[in-house]
Amino acid sequence: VSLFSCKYTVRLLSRSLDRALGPGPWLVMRLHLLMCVPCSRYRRHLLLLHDTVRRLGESSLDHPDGDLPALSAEARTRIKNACENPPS
Amino acid sequence: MEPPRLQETEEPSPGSWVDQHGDFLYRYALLRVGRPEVAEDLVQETFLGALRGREQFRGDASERTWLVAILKYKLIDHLRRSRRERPLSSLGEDEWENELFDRTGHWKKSPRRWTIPGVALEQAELQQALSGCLSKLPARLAEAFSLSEMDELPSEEVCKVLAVSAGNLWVMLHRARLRLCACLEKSWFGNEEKHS
Repeated sequence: VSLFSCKYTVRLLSRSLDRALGPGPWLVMRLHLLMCVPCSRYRRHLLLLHDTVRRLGESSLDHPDGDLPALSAEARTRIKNACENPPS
Repeated sequence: MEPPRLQETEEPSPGSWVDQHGDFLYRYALLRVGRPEVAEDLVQETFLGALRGREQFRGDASERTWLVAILKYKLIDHLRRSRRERPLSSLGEDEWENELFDRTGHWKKSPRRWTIPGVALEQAELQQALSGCLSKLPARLAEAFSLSEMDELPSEEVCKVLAVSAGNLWVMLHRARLRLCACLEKSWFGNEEKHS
């Protein structure tokens, strides 16, 4: 993969979220982003994703309007039974 | 030792625990393991673990926080076990990456412009869409992504739990992100009338 390709740049973008890039790769990435609209967009998407996932914590699991998954009636009964007669 | 506050007040029955927290714990687990039957088992193990460790519960945390802490422990234990049984051999080429980029490494089709969600409702909808996209990820990628990004575990820890090298973890995270962005573009940002 060419160092100046989009494919390489998006790999660097992802990696930069997890740890600081070395000066060489960082410069390659910044220069590419200056010139490339699609990769700049992808960068914004990644940041939004990053941000949303962090907020996808406990509050969103209780969202009242959402069509959220729930324990099936069968699983609920099974779990209750297991709790009432716990395996020794 | 100070007696746990749970016993000072009325003691809830395990049945009411399940009604109160069961769905929440199930969603929490499902978001991370993807498979309903595994999530159900983890919820059951969590409640059983909570029953056994009832005396250790200290009233300074909420009951739910305490249950989530037990679930997290069960989850990591489950991942560790299942990865030991089926270790990752090699990652190979990513078909998906080849779909997105041409031979010279440029985008075949540029990502679209997204409108950043403003109001709380839109943010909640985005979170829903993201949960849907997470459930479509291949299991290994979902595990790597949720441990790193949702649970914010340090990468050395994630590597240990999933039994992968640091290099493989980065590749997996990259692949997960590529898929999630493409999925969100389709499922959430695809609706131009609503979100533009």
